[in-house]
Amino acid sequence: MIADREYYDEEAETMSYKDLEDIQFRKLKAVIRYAYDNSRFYRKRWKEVGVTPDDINSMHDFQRRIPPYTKDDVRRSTAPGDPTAGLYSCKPEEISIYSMTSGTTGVNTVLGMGQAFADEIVEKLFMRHYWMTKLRPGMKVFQVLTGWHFLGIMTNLVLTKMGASCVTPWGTTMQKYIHNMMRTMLDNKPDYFIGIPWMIQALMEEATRIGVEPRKVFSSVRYMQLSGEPMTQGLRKKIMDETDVIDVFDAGGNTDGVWGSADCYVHRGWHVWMDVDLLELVEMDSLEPVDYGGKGRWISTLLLLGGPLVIRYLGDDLAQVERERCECGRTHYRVRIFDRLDNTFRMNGRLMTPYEVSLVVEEVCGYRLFTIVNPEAGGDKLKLLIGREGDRDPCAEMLDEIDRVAHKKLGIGIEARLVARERLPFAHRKLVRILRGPDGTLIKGDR
Amino acid sequence: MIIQAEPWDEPDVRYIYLTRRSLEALAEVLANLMDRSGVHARNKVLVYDFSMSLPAIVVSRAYAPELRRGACEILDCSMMSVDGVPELAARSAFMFSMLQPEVLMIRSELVSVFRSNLERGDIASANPNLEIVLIVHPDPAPLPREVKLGPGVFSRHLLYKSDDGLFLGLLEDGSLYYPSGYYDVKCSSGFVEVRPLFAKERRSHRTSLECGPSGVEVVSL
Ligand SMILES: [Zn+2]
Repeated sequence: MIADREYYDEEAETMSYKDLEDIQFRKLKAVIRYAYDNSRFYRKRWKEVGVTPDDINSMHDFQRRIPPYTKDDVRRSTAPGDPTAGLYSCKPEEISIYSMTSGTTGVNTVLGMGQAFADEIVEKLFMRHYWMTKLRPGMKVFQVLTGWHFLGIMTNLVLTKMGASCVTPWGTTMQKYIHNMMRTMLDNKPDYFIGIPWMIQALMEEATRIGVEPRKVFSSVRYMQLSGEPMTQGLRKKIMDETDVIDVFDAGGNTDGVWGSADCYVHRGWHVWMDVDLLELVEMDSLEPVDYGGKGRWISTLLLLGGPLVIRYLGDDLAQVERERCECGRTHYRVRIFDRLDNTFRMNGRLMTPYEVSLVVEEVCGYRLFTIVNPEAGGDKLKLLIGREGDRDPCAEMLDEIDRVAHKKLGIGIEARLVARERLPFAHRKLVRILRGPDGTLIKGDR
Repeated sequence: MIIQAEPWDEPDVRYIYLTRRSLEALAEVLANLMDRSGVHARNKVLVYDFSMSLPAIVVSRAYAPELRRGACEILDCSMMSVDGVPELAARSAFMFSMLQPEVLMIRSELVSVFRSNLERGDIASANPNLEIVLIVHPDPAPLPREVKLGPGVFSRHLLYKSDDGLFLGLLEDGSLYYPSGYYDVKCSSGFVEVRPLFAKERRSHRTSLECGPSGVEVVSL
């Protein structure tokens, strides 16, 4: 491995769409055949709609004839002692590594894999991903070890294969362990930081609390890879300004759909590898196909055999999937998740998420935490609570400008109000991005 | 790999420096101890402990960067892990009844919260497959006399760990079992002293285990 080259696997990462489509369809046929012959879950569902592998002779056939399934379908099929529900392309006894989904929608589901599958997906997906985000052999990497988490497990296997070393604090990624994280950073001076966006602010605040210059926490770090919360350009800029790192990469995906990746230095969406995952977009309600470049719910199909068997899994997010060659030279998808479906709303007939609103706020005030209040309540303006920064926040004088930019960009007005940051609603350590119901009217005043 | 050791005396912060050889040796030690406890091939192991806790980290290569073969790979077992905080007891109880593992590795202080998160507080009935419970007991916490997991299930094995000694052993009926090829273990001034043979830079570490006729008897495997 030559440390300064851009690609982990140049041929695979810059392949033409013609070649990628050929690979996708060839692998798809094999996956469908395997599922029909071996998986009770798929066979039953496909028989109900009268489709067999022989009916699938094009991508069009695949999208029109193979029914999608959801997390609820998986939950209904799993039972105590059989968490895999026939959704695997290997024998149950070959599964040796189990991870969990993070369970943000309620009950966790289990993702299992064999050792050979783990090695294959590390090589084809995660080595490319981490190389793209500038992890290199010999680097010292800070991460809080998380053995239950799919990305955490994959990261461990990447570090071993890459020849990077690891430094980890005692604890988990919870606020109560932030002191351990900060001390471990200061004492061990890692080159690379893997974490969640909220940790950055929390680490700097902890440093301030004990009288350490906040920038010192990240003084050795050259690159960061963050995941778990939406990343906007404004948030990236804020983190880079505050920490002096060379670049901040955004990683993400979905464990149930077994897809994921990170963005490249161009930062226009995660490069999801088309020879590993097939992603589609569909309309929110009708589930009719949406062209690449548009917005819709994502559907994923995993093109590897020997582990989880994912064929048209319908996700719960509003996403955009682009398919055109990136400035970095890669051809593979660029994916953006705007938000979960229950964080979407319609105004003036337009489907929106907090993501679009954040672009307006950032353009005027820079990165800010905010909450949208009762977007379905009617009225011609979207109501917003914005967290105040510092004692004399210049944003306070620019609320009319936010309204003007919102009209221009979104076709709606915004009625924003600045409140103390601690008055914004949080649930389970995460900011509530859309506050609905009577609570939305309870937050009054700004003190 | 550098791991922050389990904090005992805040704000004292200690780190465990593990070479690949040390990680491999610890994985072999754990495999030895699990084997002695009766764990065998194709068992499912649920780990409810911090991912950087010494025994948890060497359970699998999936949990430890730089480790090529963990205890579960050596024994050909499968594994799942839940972070060792009480807030995740409901999640670990759910996984326990869903995955139905034969082996549970759990931090001692989490036993009661884990049990109360299982229906009727009965570990055995939530998982008829359960055969082996390994209770992780960190030095220098005081030794529990008996940990009751549920009707009919008692602590059969205490998995004793000493971060500063890079030591893993089994405490059973007043005896401390350890694989002799990996450690030099002796009694000194009434306490058990351990020294890992696989990490030459490490000196002897005095544990909080009292040895002698009324204390812990040291038995090499
Ligand atoms: Zn790119």
